[in-house]
Amino acid sequence: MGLIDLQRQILSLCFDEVPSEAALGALGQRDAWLTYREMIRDRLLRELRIALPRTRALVGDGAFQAAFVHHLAHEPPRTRFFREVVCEFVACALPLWAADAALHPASCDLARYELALWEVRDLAARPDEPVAEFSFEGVAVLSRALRLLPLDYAVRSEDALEARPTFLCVQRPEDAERGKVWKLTPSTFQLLSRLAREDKSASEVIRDTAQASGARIDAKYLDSVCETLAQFLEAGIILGSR
Amino acid sequence: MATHELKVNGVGIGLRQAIAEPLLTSAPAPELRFVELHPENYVQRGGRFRSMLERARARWPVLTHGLTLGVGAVEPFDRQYVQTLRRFLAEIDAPWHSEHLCFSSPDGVMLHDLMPLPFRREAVEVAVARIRELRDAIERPVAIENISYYAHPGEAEMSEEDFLLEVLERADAKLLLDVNNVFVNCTNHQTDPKQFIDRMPLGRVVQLHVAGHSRLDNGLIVDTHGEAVREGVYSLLEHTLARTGPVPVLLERDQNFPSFEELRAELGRIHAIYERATGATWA
Repeated sequence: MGLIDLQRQILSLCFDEVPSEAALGALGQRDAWLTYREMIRDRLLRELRIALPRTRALVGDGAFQAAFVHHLAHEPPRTRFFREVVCEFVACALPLWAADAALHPASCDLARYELALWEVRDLAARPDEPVAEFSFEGVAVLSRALRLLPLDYAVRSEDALEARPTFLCVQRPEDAERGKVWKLTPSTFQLLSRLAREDKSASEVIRDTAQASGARIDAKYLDSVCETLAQFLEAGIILGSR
Repeated sequence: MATHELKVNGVGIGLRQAIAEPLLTSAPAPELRFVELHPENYVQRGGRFRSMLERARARWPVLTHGLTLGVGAVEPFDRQYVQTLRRFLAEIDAPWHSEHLCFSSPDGVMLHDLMPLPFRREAVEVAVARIRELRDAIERPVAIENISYYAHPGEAEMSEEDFLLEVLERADAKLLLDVNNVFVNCTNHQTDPKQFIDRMPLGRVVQLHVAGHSRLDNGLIVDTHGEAVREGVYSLLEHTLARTGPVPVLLERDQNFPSFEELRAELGRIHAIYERATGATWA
């Protein structure tokens, strides 16, 4: 058997739902290869359990394990960064959990939330390009250690998983090790989302957000927006402008 | 390619999250001369890890030891990652970069482990070509580490020593000689560890690793990096250092961490062996 075929046999042995007897026969030393399988799978599963403890508790060990087995067998890890295996697992697990009527309906939102907390720990807050002082005429530059989550369930640890639209900003301040969670109003979430994705000046985004929500752009509205932006700047959610 | 001066020697430890705070805040320890890290855990990463790196660099030289560019893989290198690695190595002024003589990613799927290559001519050819390509791409010397292996894939055409020797010679690569892996392999496969060490091209050795291992219920001993270094490995380390002379020795501990005082005691013992075996002393 050629080198690539041997390597594929080993991959199959480690990641297939059930280790193939044909692969074990071809490779020889059955017990030792099964030890490899166990060590590799255990290491990956351990990382997922560390990253998603509340999700695992909510869906239950059975569903969590089943999603893990499916992930390895059908959409296996491709990232070389071990910290990112969590992201790939969640992407694979969400459709499975969404389709499982036996699971708590908040399961997917909770997974998204825990994933956001996990991811922002490692993201660099500042972009490589220089950031100027914030101006309404510039395009807002947001922290890169940030995730915006529009959810159908209240999933923070202090919430009771109630079914209600919940808009969260998960952000890791530059000098912090862990993420901070901001619960936003729908309009503030829309404003922040537009600032994050649209290549328009801040004043244009403010105007577009107001029009989309039917809000009247008066002094009161502008005062409220300015106060919100000031809070975001102080928190490091908005870094400045370009 | 630029020549990188060997600026690192003595005893070092892996820079790990679990021990970062005591390591980076404790008073300087004369027996600790460098740290080693896995670039995959630091590149494209902000937050705590970037801070750890900056603080470590302020205190010690930093060596790099890769986890995922297995030189025995059949697929092409991820060029974007290799360029990222090159920039990172330049940023921290790494004197060399080490990877494992293994494969990790058939068809782009990451096993996140170090899988054994068959001791065969085809694997030699693949590894030699990839080592040369990597060296050219990162623009600094590449050291290859001998891995522990618990099963040999298929039939072998040569011994582990001959496989390693041929790859090193034909790739003109450096050797990161993992003494614990030699001990583990020789124990599991009933060969002589001192004979293995004595056959190694000592002029190519740029670094040694030592670590702890565990015995499983099925009798295999496994390179876990989660236990204290065993007596047999200390003995093999002294045998090795008496032959290599002063080269940097890294203590690998990745899980099941003891107290920082216990780790320092281990470093102290390795340091004593280092001085005794090489005759090198530190002021």
